[in-house]
Amino acid sequence: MKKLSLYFHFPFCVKRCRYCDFVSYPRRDRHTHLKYKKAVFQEIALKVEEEGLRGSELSTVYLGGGTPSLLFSEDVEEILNYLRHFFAFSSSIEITMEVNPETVNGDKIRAFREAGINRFSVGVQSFNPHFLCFLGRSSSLEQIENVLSCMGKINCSSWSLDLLYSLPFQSFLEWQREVESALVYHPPHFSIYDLTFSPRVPLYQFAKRHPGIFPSSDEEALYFEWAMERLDSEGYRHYEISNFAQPGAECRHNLNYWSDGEYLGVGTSAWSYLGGRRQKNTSSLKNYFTRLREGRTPLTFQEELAPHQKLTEDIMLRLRTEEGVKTSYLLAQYKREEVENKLKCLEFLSKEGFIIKEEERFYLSQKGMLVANQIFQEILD
Amino acid sequence: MDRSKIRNFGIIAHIDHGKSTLADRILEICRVVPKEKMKEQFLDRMDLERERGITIKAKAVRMEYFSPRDGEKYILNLIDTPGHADFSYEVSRSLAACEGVLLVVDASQGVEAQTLAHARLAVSQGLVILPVINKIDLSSADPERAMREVEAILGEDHLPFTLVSAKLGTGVEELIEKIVQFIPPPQGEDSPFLQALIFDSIYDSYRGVIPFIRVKEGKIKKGMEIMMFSTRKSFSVSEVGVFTPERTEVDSLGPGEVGYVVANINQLEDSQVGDTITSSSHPSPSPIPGYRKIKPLVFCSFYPVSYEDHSKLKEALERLQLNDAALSFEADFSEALGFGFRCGFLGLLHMDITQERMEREFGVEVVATAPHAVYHVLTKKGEVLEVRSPKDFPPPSEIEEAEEPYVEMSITVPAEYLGGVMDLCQSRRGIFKDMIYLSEKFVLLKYDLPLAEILLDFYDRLKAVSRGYASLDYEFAGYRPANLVRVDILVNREKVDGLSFISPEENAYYRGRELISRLKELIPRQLFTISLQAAVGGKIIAREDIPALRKDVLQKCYGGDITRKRKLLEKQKEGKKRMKAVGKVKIPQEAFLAVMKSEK
Repeated sequence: MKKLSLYFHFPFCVKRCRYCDFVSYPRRDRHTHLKYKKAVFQEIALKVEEEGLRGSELSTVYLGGGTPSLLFSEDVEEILNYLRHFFAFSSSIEITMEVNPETVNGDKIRAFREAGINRFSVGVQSFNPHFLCFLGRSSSLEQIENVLSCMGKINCSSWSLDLLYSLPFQSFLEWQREVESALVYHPPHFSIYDLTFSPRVPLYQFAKRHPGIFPSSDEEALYFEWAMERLDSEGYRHYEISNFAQPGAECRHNLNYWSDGEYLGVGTSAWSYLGGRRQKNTSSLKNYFTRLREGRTPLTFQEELAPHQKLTEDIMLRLRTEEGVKTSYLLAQYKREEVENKLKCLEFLSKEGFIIKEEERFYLSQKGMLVANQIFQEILD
Repeated sequence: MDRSKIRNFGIIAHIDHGKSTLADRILEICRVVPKEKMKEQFLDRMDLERERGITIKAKAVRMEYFSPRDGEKYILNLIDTPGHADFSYEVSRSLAACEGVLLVVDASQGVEAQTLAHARLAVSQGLVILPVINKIDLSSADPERAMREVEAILGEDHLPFTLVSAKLGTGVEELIEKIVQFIPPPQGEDSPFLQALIFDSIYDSYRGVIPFIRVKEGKIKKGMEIMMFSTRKSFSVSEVGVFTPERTEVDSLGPGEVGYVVANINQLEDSQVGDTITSSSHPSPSPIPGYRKIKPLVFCSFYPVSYEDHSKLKEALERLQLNDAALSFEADFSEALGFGFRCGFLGLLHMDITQERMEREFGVEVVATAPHAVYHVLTKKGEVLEVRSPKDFPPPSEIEEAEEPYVEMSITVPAEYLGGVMDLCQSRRGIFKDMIYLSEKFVLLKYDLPLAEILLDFYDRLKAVSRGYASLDYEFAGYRPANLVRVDILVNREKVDGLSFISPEENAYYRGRELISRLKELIPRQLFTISLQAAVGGKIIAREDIPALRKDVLQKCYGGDITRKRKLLEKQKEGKKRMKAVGKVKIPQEAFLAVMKSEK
């Protein structure tokens, strides 16, 4: 049976954060949420037919956004039931929901859990009220603490906590405090990101005007290296560039992205990867509704990867992970000649200490992980 | 034409002292251009000239003037002169076509270095000088001071001042009367030998190169065979005429007259400023003295910003050259910047204007490398090299003697900023020559300076240390021996051609170190430590390291990020390809442009 992951995008938020580049719309009313849910159901039915996905086994489901925790637990139940019409749920299925603290309380979390969510990803970003304010987050420190204290009590297989670093004037000590504050709650999983802006977000202009207020890249290196050591000492595995987990608590939905796994994305701006094709849905809510009303799929972009592109992407994505990439795997999947070219490049980078070679396995060294983008550019054609 | 009724004159003035406005008023009074048709500043035809307030190329206008004093009709030929040091040779040729000049000084600004240089030129050519104080209507006007300063140049024994406001027209009629009264009519004979001075020319796409001439002796008319004295090439005259100010055909031009010649001349080289036109059948035994072949003193390379613009750039240069004999260019290639053109200029302003015209009139955006002088090197083998690019400068062991061009610099500056200006000149290897108090507040400083030292930001620095009050003028003053070395820049121990520069030996260490620290800012940190070294003839004189990049942007990469991320990486990689690779180091274009931009 075909294995598949499913991403469900919910594009509404209490308000948009100042650094966020995701497609999201200010909360809107319950009516719009329900209308959106209905439209996504239509999309699922359409795509399942078009792509011949009926009967596939779902190994993971991810409700992301936006702020999917604006939904009610009844909605979640309905969504999962709807999916059961088309797919078989694997016995070990991982069902994640992104949670923004300002939208939930203990009862709501428990209700989500009962509706079938077995993994939560809590968007904390910072424990420092100043930074929360700078980022334009809607949650208060109190709300964050409430949600986190409830996480340990609900018996879900894993949950995750997001943190941002490289915030304006953030000192090393402040960063250490962020990590320590998070560790108090023993999250099984961490995602740690550096603050970056796309030119489309309001903070971009601010950052351009005041470049000096952000930690330098050398300071960032120090912050990140410290976090790697600290989390390692607590038993976390640095299993992907931005992700840390206690053994067994890795996010399987995301691992699927990095290991050439197929996935169906539904909702505005969602991406799918099916049969070697990458597809993107429209970002515009209006167009999304219109297209589905007309019975058409809401795609705006589609590309079929050429074999050499697929090879490059596969190596780059796998190199993000602790597991890395294996020569035998590459040779089995791709043309020998092309693989050998890439292997030469990997060998070269391993001589320079950016990549570690262990028998037939290549993976990024700690030094290489910090400059991964540069390494990937070397690997590109 | 009654020669005694002709007056040929020019106007000498500093930028913005009102030369063009004054010319407009004279044209108006002589009814050459009716007031309603008068486009502000008639003589400055190019937009660029009007904007910068400078006249780039000389032009001429013929006017008829009825003097109310004696009721006679006079022909006034106003020959305009370009207004910048770079064009001093052309200025001297324009003046050679005149018998007198108006020396115009702004009543609120006083005498500036350039006015001075041109006034000296006029005196040395035996021209009659009519001093004019302009802008007397301004509240800040101080005509007394301006007159004192002019007296300091001309001496006690000069013609009376005329006080005018060109803007309002005050005093202009009086001035025209003085032109008729004091500027002598042209001399010259109706000799069988034609002698006509070329003081400018334009390119007309239908009629070829059209020289602007002043007839000294003899007559030129339609159908005549003429010969250029310097090239000995002959042409047949199909039209002669005068500027009214439009080109208007006349039967002939005789001694003292100013006009143009159409003779099917195709190449600008055949109509060189300063050359003498004579008759093929009765050639004059000697030319009009003062002709010089124009030689570029400053070189820099232009590269198109985008590769596709290469042919557009070439076409623009070719078209500009049609009207600008001083501009020279040849194909050039730089590993960092690609295909471009190495261009020769008379000086910095000439270079700036060329670049700006290229962008404005032809829409070609260019990257210009730092300008540099032409050096002379005598090698130990006895060869004489003309070095136009640092990469051709031989190593110290092969040099017998090197020479660099010098200029004679005149700077006028308010006394309170004297110290700063002198410090600047000293720091640029200036040799002090003279200091003259023009008035109790204004000083004229004279220095000999290596051309290389003023090519970069001398003008900006001068303005900075004098709060904008100093003005300068310079003249080429020949080549002088210098102790020069080529400083090479090594990146990870590999020499990078485009980064080499020529420096006096005593400054080599300082400048090498300075450039290296600037390169350290400009070359992005990379995966490896990069060593930067400055070397003279194999000896390392300075070193800096760029530490390896420790951390890049990490960012998340989930299902929706993959394609965008790949595209971003591809774009970044493409950007790196445009940089020059030296070993495994990538050097951006800006680094190459930083060479020789001077320190603070």
